[in-house]
Amino acid sequence: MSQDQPFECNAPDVVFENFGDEVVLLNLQSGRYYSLDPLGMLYWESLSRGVPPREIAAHIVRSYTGSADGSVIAKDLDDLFLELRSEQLIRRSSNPPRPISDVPEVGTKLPAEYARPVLSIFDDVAEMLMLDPVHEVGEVGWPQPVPLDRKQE
Amino acid sequence: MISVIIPVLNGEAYIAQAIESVLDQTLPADEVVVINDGSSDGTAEIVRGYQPRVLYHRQPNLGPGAARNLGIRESKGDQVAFLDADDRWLPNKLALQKAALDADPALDLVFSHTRQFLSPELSEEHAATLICDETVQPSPLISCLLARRETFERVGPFRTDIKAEFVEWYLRGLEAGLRMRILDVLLVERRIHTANFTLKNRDVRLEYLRLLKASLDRRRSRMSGNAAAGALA
Repeated sequence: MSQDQPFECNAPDVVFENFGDEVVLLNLQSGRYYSLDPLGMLYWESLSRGVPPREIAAHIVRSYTGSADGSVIAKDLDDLFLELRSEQLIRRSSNPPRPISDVPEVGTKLPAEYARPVLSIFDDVAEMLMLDPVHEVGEVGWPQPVPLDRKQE
Repeated sequence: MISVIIPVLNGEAYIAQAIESVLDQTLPADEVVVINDGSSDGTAEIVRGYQPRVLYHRQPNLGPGAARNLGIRESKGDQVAFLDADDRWLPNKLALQKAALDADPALDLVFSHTRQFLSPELSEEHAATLICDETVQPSPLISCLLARRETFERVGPFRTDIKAEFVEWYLRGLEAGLRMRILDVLLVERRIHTANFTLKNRDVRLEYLRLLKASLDRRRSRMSGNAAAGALA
């Protein structure tokens, strides 16, 4: 899959919030939740707003020129991207790609020293959260409404 | 001794079925406590019809967390179960769960499997807009719980200012090292019906994120506290 394409958060199954020191994500289909550390957080902020992965990686590599090995950074970010994909936290976006300059914090909030971004994965309440234990319904209904194509069958 | 606590808000359509499913247990509960969370419908009348087999308490509408806390305070059993007023139990629920708790003194919480069902009064048109997954699933849900009373003393009361009060309590329970088991048997049926259709779910999902963040922070703080204590030792 092309890393020149834009991606977005896999909503509504996935919800996230940036708490300043980390991004916490929750996938309600699997019940798993995640934490992204500061570098991963900036990567997520860019990726979920539609900046193509290759552009994000190039920007971060440039930012650490002279202090960290660019090929290591590129590989680490590629691994993070694949992990976000395999956990189904992101999907391809049909919107036009956005430039990294639309996410100014990537320029100002990068950690001074490079450290491999980590996606921490937790499944200790997965069985509970998968069941949507609060009996309420969302924009898409709870449990989910029959998709339109199935209604027409 | 087993206490069953049923919190209810405007549950006139289903509360009788919930209570009957408790009274029909093969191992009877020692007390059944209904907490009316300020209902404005016919709930109170229906529940009073079950007195004195059922103890009845009323509070102003303070939410399910406050209703559960009042139920704990007003009950005496050394083992406590909850049933939401729209769900129902199968007859061997208490017998199997009590046996599991009695057999393992280290166990704090016992859950069960659930199956969802479409409430029978739904119109065909309405039912057709829902997918009711009837798969039997392992379910750490509050209607599936039987717990030792001291667990609530250890973990503390339910929060009264949030919607996902049991998720929050359960996270604190995990942090406190509670031991739990999900019995591999269907003991609870979860009703899918009109009244659990609101438009607030997005808020609940965002609330989950805040509860998870708070739990992560508490765990990290405890770990760094332990590390500091280890360094001093």
